[in-house]
Amino acid sequence: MAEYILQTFGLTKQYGNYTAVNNVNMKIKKGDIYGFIGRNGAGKTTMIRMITGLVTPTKGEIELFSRKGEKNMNAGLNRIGSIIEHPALYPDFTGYENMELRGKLLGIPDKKMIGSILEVVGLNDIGKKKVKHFSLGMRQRLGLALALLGNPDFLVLDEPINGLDPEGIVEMRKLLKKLNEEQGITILISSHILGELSKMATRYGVINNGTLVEEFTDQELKLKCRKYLSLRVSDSARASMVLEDVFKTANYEVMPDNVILVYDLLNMSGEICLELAKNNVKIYSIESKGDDLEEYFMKLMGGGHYA
Amino acid sequence: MLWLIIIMLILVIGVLSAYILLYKREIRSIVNRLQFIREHDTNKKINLQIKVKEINELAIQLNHLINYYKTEKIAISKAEHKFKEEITNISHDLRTPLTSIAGYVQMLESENTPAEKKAEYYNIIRRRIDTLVKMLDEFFEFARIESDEYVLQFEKVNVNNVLADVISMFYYDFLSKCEEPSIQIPSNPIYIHADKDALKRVFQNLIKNYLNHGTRKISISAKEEENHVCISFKNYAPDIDNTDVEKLFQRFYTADKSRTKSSTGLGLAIVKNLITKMNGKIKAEVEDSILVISITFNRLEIFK
Amino acid sequence: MLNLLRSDFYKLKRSKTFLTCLGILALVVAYIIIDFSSSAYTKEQLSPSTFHWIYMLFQVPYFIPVCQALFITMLITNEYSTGTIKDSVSLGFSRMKIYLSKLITVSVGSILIMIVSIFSIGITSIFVFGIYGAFSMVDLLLLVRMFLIQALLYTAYGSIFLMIAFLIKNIGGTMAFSIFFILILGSIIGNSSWGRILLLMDFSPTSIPHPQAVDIGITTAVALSNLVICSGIGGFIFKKQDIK
Repeated sequence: MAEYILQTFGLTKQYGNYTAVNNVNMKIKKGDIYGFIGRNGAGKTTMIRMITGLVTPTKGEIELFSRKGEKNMNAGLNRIGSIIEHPALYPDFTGYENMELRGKLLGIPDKKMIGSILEVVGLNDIGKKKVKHFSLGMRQRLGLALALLGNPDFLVLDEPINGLDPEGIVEMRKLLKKLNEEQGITILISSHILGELSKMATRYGVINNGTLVEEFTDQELKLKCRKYLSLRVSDSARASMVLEDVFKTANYEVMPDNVILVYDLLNMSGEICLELAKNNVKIYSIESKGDDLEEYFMKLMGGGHYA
Repeated sequence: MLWLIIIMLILVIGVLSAYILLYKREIRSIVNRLQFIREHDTNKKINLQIKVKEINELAIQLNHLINYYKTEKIAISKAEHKFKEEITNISHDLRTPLTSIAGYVQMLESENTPAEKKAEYYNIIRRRIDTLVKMLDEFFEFARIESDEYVLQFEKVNVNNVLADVISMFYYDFLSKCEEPSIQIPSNPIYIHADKDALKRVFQNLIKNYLNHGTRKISISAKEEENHVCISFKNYAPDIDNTDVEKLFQRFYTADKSRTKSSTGLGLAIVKNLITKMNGKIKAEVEDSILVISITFNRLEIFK
Repeated sequence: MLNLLRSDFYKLKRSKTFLTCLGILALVVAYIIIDFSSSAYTKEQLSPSTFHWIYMLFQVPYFIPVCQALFITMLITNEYSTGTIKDSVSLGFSRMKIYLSKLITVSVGSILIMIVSIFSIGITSIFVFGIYGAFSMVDLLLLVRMFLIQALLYTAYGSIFLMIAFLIKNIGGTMAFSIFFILILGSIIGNSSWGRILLLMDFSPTSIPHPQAVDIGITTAVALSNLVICSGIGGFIFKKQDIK
């Protein structure tokens, strides 16, 4: 029985008549990198605020580290590091002083940890620069450093890639993967950038208009989005025989109307045609199909204008 | 005036008791946290509420210890995982020739098999058994070398001689491969501080590796530089890229993914182990499809 | 809880508004005395003892509360505008403890303001007028008693500003309301009995060496109840608040 870091039961948040989050049952397993996807205003940030104790749910329960209830929630929050919306920094302090202040709040005994964490996120040389002069990328890094200072078991990151240059995005991805693999930190990332998310997430949750539309693992996603050859033939029974005898594959599906979807042999469409012809099977059409990630997510989010 | 002094005393006692209570509370919270760390899989470390130098130092040391404990745990679980993998590899390597032998024995038992075929089958079985024995020998040899019981005997070794000896050992193998090795050994002797047998074994394994997997010519050279002695083995290897090169010296790694050739994948691992035991360095690189394995030793100074 | 206090004190120490208030108050107070000294008429009239100056300080209603309003507003509303209020909440500290820690910090800040202004007045008056009047132990104790009562009053005042700041989270609104509260309401209702109870105006009855027991009683009761009520309301509001 896998351990769930976070589980929500019927989590709902209403502001007057407006329902921001509607009956969400989210599950995040220990060791996951959970990609949280949704349009602007779909309820991502509200969910994250509820998980981190900033906003009280109207209905429903949150189970953190397998414990429910307010006192346990506070104890659990102690094990969470988060960046919510924008990194919350003191503009008149330097980066190091921001870290020092957080260190005081957490009760970190060893000041040297500050230096080593700043190095890990790539902020070794910031000297006396006040945070108000920081670039957006530096702020994100400092936010991550602050979140890591408490040795968290669970990182909750709201759009952490926002504002980073391409190099920074790659570095952040590598860093997060490293933290996940080496220190076993579970990570929840909400982001718009599907491409980046798909490179590191192990599980996805898609939210639309406050409802969690679907939750699936990375493997399931790849399965749903795999490419295939779609053939329209004259005799699908014969064609299946050819596929099994000559190409030794059973990885296909026979659809009505003599359509066969072949999930294997994607670059052998020419050979397939030849063999089918040899066996007197006519081919009316052959195409290479398959959703790419964006299309799949768009479908889940109901299509339309992606904000 | 008296009551003033009494008030002061009460204040002092109050402050001191507050201090003591804080200390006690802090120690209790450290104990709780340590218990929590032992019972759960967590990254949390000791955090403090009060600012006292001695307790601070205690917390820092405890955190170092906790870090050490965690890394050890991870290393152990990785080692366990690797061990299970290695057992799987060994059993796979042994299963193939054994299955083949079983098949031929079946054929021998059948009455339909003609006599000449039977003779052939007996030969094949014999060869397979030889292969098995050789494999097991390699496994045991490898285990022996890896263990602490294998002690090297260091002496002044003439590299040129050892190298030349080993190369001549494989004369017929080179002939049958139809590739003449290109050899560059200087005329003045090169001396290093090493174990003669181990060095021999290293060169043997490297040449065997080439014979099994390499194509075209092999180029073997020994050089003496300022402080080092460098021995290198170069051969054409189009199928190896730079990521594979890092794995060459890992145990049971063979570039042959289906493990059909009778190679255990231990040869190079043994080489690396022996070189390291002799305080040398070994490096593998691929450049322009040429695999270069270079061994470096410190020079042995000869005082005249 | 101690960690909360430590971090809040660090923020107070580094708060430019707080330090500026301290500085300006010290200077203003010193200036007033120097100004007094130059006017020969008042010098003749009053000739107060050194301690007397200190008592006078607390009879003027607006100096210290305005400074309080300033630094408390800045301290709290900055946390909301930079978003750093999220820090302590999302780390699992209970909301009551966070509020309490801010309350203690703000109270200590107010007391510091009082101490600094007392020192400033004391030292300046010594420079300007020399040491006047009797200097007995009893006088010192009476001064301490007044100080304690005034401290309670100003702490209560601080809790009001704190509550306002947590209620109206932006700097403009909070500042406006707080200043309105002191200056405008104060001057309207100031001297009536309503003013004394609700707004803690007119501290002067207690700002003398020998105040009447009744006055001490009323002042203490009003201050304490204000403190408790405002902290209660503020804490409750904060607890239920959704932090954006």
